[in-house]
Amino acid sequence: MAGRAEPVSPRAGYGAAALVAALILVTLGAVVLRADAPGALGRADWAAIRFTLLQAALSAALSVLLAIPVARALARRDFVGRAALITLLGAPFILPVIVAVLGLLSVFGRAGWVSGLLGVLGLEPIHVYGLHGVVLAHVFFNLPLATRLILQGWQDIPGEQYRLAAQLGAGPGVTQRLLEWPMLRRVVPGALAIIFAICLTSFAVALTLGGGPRATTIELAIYQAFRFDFDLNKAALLACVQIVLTGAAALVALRVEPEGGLARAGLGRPAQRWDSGGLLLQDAAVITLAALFLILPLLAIVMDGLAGLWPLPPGLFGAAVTSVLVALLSTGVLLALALPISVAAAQPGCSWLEGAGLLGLAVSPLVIGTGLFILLNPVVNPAALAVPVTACVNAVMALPFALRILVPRARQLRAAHARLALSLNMQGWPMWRYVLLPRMRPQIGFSAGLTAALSMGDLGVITLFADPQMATLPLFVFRLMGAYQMQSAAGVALILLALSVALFWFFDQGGRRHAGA
Amino acid sequence: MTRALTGRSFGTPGNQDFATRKGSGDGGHWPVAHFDVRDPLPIPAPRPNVRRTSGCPDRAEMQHANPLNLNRLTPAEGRSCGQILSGIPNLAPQKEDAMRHLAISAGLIACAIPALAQDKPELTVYTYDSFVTDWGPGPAVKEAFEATCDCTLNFVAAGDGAALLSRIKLEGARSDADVVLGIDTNLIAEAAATGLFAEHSVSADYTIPLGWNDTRFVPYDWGFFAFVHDTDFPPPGSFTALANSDAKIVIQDPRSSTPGLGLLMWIKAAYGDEAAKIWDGLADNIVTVTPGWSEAYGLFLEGEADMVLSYTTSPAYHIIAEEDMSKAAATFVEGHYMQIEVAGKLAATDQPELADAFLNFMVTDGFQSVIPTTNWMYPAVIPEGGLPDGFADFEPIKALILDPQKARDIRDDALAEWQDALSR
Amino acid sequence: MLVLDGLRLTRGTFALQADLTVQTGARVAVMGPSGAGKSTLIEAIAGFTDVTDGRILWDSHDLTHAAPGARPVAMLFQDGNLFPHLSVAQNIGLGLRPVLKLTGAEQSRVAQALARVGLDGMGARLPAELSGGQASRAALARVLVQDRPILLLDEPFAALGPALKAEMLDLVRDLSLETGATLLMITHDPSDARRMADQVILVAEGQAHPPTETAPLLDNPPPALQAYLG
Repeated sequence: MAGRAEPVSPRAGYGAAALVAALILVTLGAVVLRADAPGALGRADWAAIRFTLLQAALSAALSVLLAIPVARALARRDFVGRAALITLLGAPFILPVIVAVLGLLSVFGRAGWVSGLLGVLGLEPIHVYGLHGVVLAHVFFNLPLATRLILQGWQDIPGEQYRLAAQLGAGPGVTQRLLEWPMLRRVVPGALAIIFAICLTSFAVALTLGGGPRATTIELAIYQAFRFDFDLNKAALLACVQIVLTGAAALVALRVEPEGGLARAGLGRPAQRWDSGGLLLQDAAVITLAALFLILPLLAIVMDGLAGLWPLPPGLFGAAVTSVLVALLSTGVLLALALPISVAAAQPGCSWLEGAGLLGLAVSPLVIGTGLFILLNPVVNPAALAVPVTACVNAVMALPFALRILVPRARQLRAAHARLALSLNMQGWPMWRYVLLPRMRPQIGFSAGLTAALSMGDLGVITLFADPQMATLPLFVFRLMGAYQMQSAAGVALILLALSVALFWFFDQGGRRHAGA
Repeated sequence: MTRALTGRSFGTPGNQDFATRKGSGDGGHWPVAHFDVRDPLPIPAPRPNVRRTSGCPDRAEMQHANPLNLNRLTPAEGRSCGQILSGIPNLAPQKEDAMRHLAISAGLIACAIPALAQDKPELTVYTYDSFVTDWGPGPAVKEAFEATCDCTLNFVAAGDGAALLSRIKLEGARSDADVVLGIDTNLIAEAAATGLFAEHSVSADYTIPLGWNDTRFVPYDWGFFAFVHDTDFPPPGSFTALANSDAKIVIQDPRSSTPGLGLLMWIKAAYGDEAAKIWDGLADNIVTVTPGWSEAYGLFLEGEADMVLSYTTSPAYHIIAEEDMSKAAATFVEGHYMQIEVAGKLAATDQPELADAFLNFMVTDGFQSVIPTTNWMYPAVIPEGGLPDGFADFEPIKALILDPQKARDIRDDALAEWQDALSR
Repeated sequence: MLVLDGLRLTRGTFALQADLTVQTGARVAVMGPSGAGKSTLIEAIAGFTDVTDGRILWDSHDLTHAAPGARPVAMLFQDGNLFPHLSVAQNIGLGLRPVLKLTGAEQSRVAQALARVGLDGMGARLPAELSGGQASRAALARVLVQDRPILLLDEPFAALGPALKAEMLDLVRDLSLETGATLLMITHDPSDARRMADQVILVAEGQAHPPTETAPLLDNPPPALQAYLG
C-alpha cells in the first residue's frame, strides 16, 4: 500500500534513532578530541582484526548450523516442558561472561566433567583452549538466540503449506526443498549477521579461552590502547573499525530480513505435519543433546553457587537492589527508544532505522563509557550519574535485540490496522494507547524481559562510574573474585542468575498475560 | 553483552628513582636490583610505646605520639577541636578503647556546635576497586584516618591500577582527587611523566627489600610475584625447570593486567635478552592467558592448571582466612620480581596539608597493620604486632625489580617478544 | 457530489485515469477485471493512495491532499474492520471519537447503532466471539455512527455466504437510504450490483469510466465488461 499518511508519525522514531546515533558518535568524538597521540593501526592490531573476524565468522556459522536441527526438532515436536526449555535456553545469553566461562569449564575444562569421564575410559582430557574453545563458548552463548530466530522461521510457514505438501505425497526431503529451504534462505543470513555482530565485540571469552595472544580481539586491542598506552586515538580508530564491521553485518541482516524476527519466538505450538513420522528418535536426540550442552554448564554454575551461598557477603543486598534498579531503568529507557523506532521502522522505506539501532551492538562499552566520562566529568561528579548512565548504555546495547523483536510485530500491526486507524482519525497517542501498546504487549514484555536480564548481567560502563558504595551484582562478583572470595562469588553469581531469569520471566509473562486476541 | 573488563586491582607500571643496585652484570642483562633475603621481612625495632594507663594525655605527649603535624592538618576554623580529636586515638593504643571512646565523646560534645556549624574538610583518594570493598583495607583505613584528622576521607574506586592512572590522565589537573593510591612500580614512570604529582616529605623505616627513596610516591605495601600451586603438586624450581616440565600454568595478559605485566618484567629482569627463549619454552606450559587476575585464579581453583601466576602472599590468604593449608607458592632460583604499591599527592590538590597528613598516616600502624589480611600484601613498614602467621612461609632467594624508567622503556619490546613467542 | 477531476493514479507501471462525477446520494457499484484498479480508485478516494495528478472534490471542497481521517469518508475494508482486542462497543465508539472516553450521549448513540444493525446487547463482546455476519454488522454499526456522507465498500462481505451477503447488502442499502450517504461499492457479482446499485463505474484498461445506469449496462455490456462477465 503506497500510503502517505501514517497513524503514528515516524518523527519520534527518527528522534530516538538520532539520539542513539548521537550518543555513540558524540562519545566517540569526545574520545578522539581528547586524544593527543596520532593513533595508527599496527601489525598487532591488524592481527587482532583478522582474528576477530575469523572467530566471529566461525562462531556465527557454527551457532546457526547447529541451531537449524534444534529449531527443526523443536518446531516439529510438542512435549511437556517445551516452553520452559525454550525459556531456560535463553539463560546463557544473560550470564556475566566470567561466570559462564567458569561454568563451561566445569564441563569441558581440563578438570571438567567430560574430561573426567574420558579419564575413566582411559582417554586424554580434552583441551578446550584455543580457537575452538572461543567458538565453543560463543556457540554456548548464541545457540539459543539462533535457535529462537530460526524456530520463528519454521513457525511462520503456514500450516496449509504442510497440508499441501502432504497432499502431494511429499516426504521429508521434498518438504525440505519445497518449504524449508526457502524459509532458511530468508532467515539464516539475518541470524548469522546478528551473531557475527555480537561475537565481534568479544573480549574476555576470546582471551580466556583463546589460550594466548593469538586470540586477541579488537575489543582487547581497544582496552590495551586505553589502559596500557593511553592512546585514545587508536582506541577510537579501533572502535570505528568495530562499528564499520558491525554496520556491514547489520546491512546484510536487514537486506535479508527474517520476517518473524524474534517476535513470539518459541511460543507458538508446532504446526501439524505429516512428513516426520520416522524422525521422532532423531528429533529427540537433537533436542536432548542441545539441552545437555546448554544446561550442564548452567547446572555447574548452580552447584558451585549453592556451595557458596552461605554466608552471604556484606553488601550483597545493596548490590542486588542497585542491579535491579539499573535493570528497570534500562528497560524504561529501552522502551522509550525502541517503541518509536520500531513503529517508524515498520513504515515503508524506513527499515534503515533498525540499522541505527543495531549500532548499539558495535560499540565498545569502554569507548562509550570513556567518552561519556570525558563529557560529563567537567560538569558533574560521574559517580552521581552512575545509575542513569549505566541504564542508558545498557539500553542502547539491548536496543538491537528489542528491535528484532518489535519491528516485525509493528509491521504486522501496520498492515492490519493502519488504514482502519487512519480512516477513524486515530493518530498519535490514541493509536499508541488503544492499538499499538495493547497489541504489542507480548513483544514489549519479551523485549523488556530480555533487556532487564541483559542489563542485570552487564559490567558495561559501571566500572568507570561506580563509587565504592554502589556496585551492581556483576561488579560485586568481580570484586569478590578479586579478593580471593571465589566461593562467595559463585554464590552471588547464582543469585544474579536467578534474579535475571526472574526479571525476564516477570516481564515476559506480564506481556503474555491478558494479551489481546 | 557482558564483558569482564577489570583485572586484579594490583596496580600497573610507573616511574621514579629507585634505590637500585646493578645486576650481576652478565652481558645482556638489564640493570637489576638484587637483594639477598635470608630473613625476607626484617622486623624493625619496636617503637617507643606511648601507652598510658589512666588520666588524660598531656599536650606534649600527644604531639610526640602523633606523627602528623596537627597544626597543618585542619583549616583555621575548629582547629583546636581537630587537634583534640585527632590526637587521641593515636596516642592511646588499641587496648585502651574505653578511654579513647570516652575522650572522643568528650571531644565531640565539646566541639559539637562548631563542628555542626562548618563542614569538615574532605580528602578524596582515588584507588582501585578491591581496596575499598568491605573485605579490603578501605573501611578500616577510613575509620583510622578519620579518627586522626577531623576530616572526611572519601575513597573513589576507579577500576584497577591501570584504570586508575588512565582516569587521572583523563581528568588531568581538574581532577577531584587529592591523593592517588594504588599505582605500582611498573606504572610509576608513566605516572611521574604526567607531571600531575607533587613531591612528598614522608620518611619511614621501610621494610621493603630494596629500600625506597622516591620523592613523588610513598609505598604502602609490596609483594613478590610467584606461581601458586597445590601442596600435593611438586613445583619446578625455576623458569627453565618449568619450561622443561609438563606443568600447566595460567597467566594473565600483560596488556590488561598488572600481574601479567609483572611476569613480563620478571622474566626480563631474570634473563634479559634471553627472555624470548624462556617464553618459547613456556609456550606449551601455558594453558591460557586471562584478561585479569580473577579469571586466572578462578581457573586455577577450578583445577584447570597446576600453577597460577599470583603472589607469594596468596597462600597466606588461604591459611589465614580459610584455614586451608593446601596452597603454596613455588620458589624460583632466578629470584622473584617485586611489586611495590604506592600513593602520591596530586599537585593540583586543594587539600595539600590533608593529603600530606594522609601520606604520613599511610606509613604508620593505623594503616600498615590493616594491609596484610585485607590487601594480602606485605606492609611497607612492619607494624608493631609483626606479621600474621602464614606471611613468613615463603623465602625468596633473590628480590628482582627493574628500574621504573627502564621498565617503561623496554615494555613495548618485551611485549612484542611475548606476543611473538606465544603466537607461534 | 463527488468529482474526480482529471485524476491520475500510478503505481510502478500501473496507471489509472479517472474523470467522472458521482451525484450525492447515488449508490454506485465499481466493477471490472481483477487488477484493473478498482481498489486503487477506492483507496485514492479514501486517502490511502497518493494522487499523481488531478483532483478529488466533494461539494467543491478539495480532498486531494486531505488526511484519510479528515475526509467525509467512511470505509469498510475486505478485512480488519474491527480491532480484535477491543470490545464491539469500543470499536463502534472509535467511530465517534478516536479516544475511548465517551460521554453518556455518545454511549447511547453506540447502543442505538448496535440495535439498528441487530446486535442489541452484544457491545461487550470481543470480535472473536462474533460470527462472520455479526462482525460485519458491527463494522456497519461503526460506519453508521461515523456519519460520513461518503461510504466506500471494498468487498467487505466477500467471505460471507450468499444469503448472508444479500442480507448485509440490503442492510447497507437501507442505511444509506436513511442517512442519504453516497455509496461506492466494489463488487465482482453483477447480481450484487443489480440488487443495490443505481449506477456502475466500469474500471478497465487503465480507465475508470463515468457511472452509467446499472440495468442497461449489465443487459448490454461493452466489450471490456463482456470479457469480464464471460
